[in-house]
Amino acid sequence: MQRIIQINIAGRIIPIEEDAYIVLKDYLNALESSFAGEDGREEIIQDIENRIAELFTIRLQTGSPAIDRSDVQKVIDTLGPASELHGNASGNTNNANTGNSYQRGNTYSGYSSQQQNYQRNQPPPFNYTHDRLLRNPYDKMIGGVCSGIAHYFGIDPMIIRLLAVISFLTFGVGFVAYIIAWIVIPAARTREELYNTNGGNPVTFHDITRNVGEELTDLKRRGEAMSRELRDFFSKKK
Amino acid sequence: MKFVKFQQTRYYALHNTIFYLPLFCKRSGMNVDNTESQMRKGLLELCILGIIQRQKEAYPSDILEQLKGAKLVVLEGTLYPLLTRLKNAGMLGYRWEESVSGPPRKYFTLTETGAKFYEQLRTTWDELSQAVNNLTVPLL
Repeated sequence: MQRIIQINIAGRIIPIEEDAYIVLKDYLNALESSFAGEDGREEIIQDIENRIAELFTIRLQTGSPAIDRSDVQKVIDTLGPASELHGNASGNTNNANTGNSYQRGNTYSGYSSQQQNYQRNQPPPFNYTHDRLLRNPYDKMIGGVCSGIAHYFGIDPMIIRLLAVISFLTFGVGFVAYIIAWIVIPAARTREELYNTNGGNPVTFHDITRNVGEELTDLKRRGEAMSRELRDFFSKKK
Repeated sequence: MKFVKFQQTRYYALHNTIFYLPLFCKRSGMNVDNTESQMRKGLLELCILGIIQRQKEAYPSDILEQLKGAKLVVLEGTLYPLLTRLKNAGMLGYRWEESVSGPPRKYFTLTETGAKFYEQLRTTWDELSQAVNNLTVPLL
C-alpha cells in the first residue's frame, strides 16, 4: 500500500507516492550539497526542478495516476547522479572517482549502492569503507556530534554520549570541545552522505557561518518543543 | 640487519607500485571514456551558444533534445549549471514564457557579448578542427 501525497514542484502540483517522494527529496538534497558554494546554486536547482516537473507532467499525461518510485528513478537516471553534474565548464580533470553519490533509490543501503557505482567507474583501490566524519542529523540529542562520531567508528551512539556527559561533568573541557566539534563538523545532508567514502565538498568559512545559523534556529525550535513537552508533563501531574 | 630491512622495504614499495599501476593510470584519466567525455565537455559551451544563435531563442529542453541527438550530452543535468554560468557571465539573457503543457519555460537568447564570444569560439573551433584533421590524417 502506498500513500499518495501532493507536492508543488516548480509551481506544478504533482501527485506522488510517498516512498518516491523520499527518493526525490534525497536527490534534491544531494544536488543542493553538490552545488554548495556555486554562485547560481538556487537558480540551477530551480531549473532542474523545472525539468523534473516537466518530465513528471509528461509522465502523468500518459495516464499514470501518480508518480511512483520507478518514475523518479528514471528521471534521476536521465538527469544524472548529483555529483556528476557539477563538472566545471572549464573541463576540470576531476574524473569520475567521486561517482559514488546518489545512484539507486535506496535511502539506507549506502554500501550496496557504492558497489554499484564502483562497477561503473573502477574498482575501489582499497576496500576501505572509511566514512567521512559528519554530524548525524537523523539521530541527535543536541547537535548530532556524538552520533556522528559513533557512526564514524561504527559503535553505539549511547556509549559516546555517556563519555561526553562524563567529560562535561568532570572537566568542563568536554563542553567546549563539543561546541567546537558542533561548529566545525559539517552535518550530513542526506542519509547517503553518511555512508559516502569521499563525498561532500570541502568546508568553507561561508559554510560554517551558515551552518551555525541553521543549527541555532534548529536548536531553538527543539528547545521550545522540549519545554512544551515538559509543561504538558507537569500540568498533567497536577 | 639494517641492510636487509632496507631491502625489504624497497621490495614492498616496488611491489605496491606495480600492483596499483593500472589504478593510477585510470585515476589520472587515461582511459578512452574519460578522454572522450573531456572532449565533449569542452565543446559543450560552443554547441549551446551555437544552437541558441541559430534559433535566435531556445529553451533548455529544446537545447537538450538537440544535444542528445548529437550525443554531446548524456546526463541532462549537466546542461543547467552550464546555462546558468553562461548567463551569469553575461553571455545569455532569458525571458519566461508560459507553456500550455508544462511549467513555464525559460527562453534563452544571446547577448552582444555572447554573440562575440560565440564568434571567437567558432573561429577557434574551425582552426582547431582543421589543424587536428591535418595532424591526424594518415601520411600518404
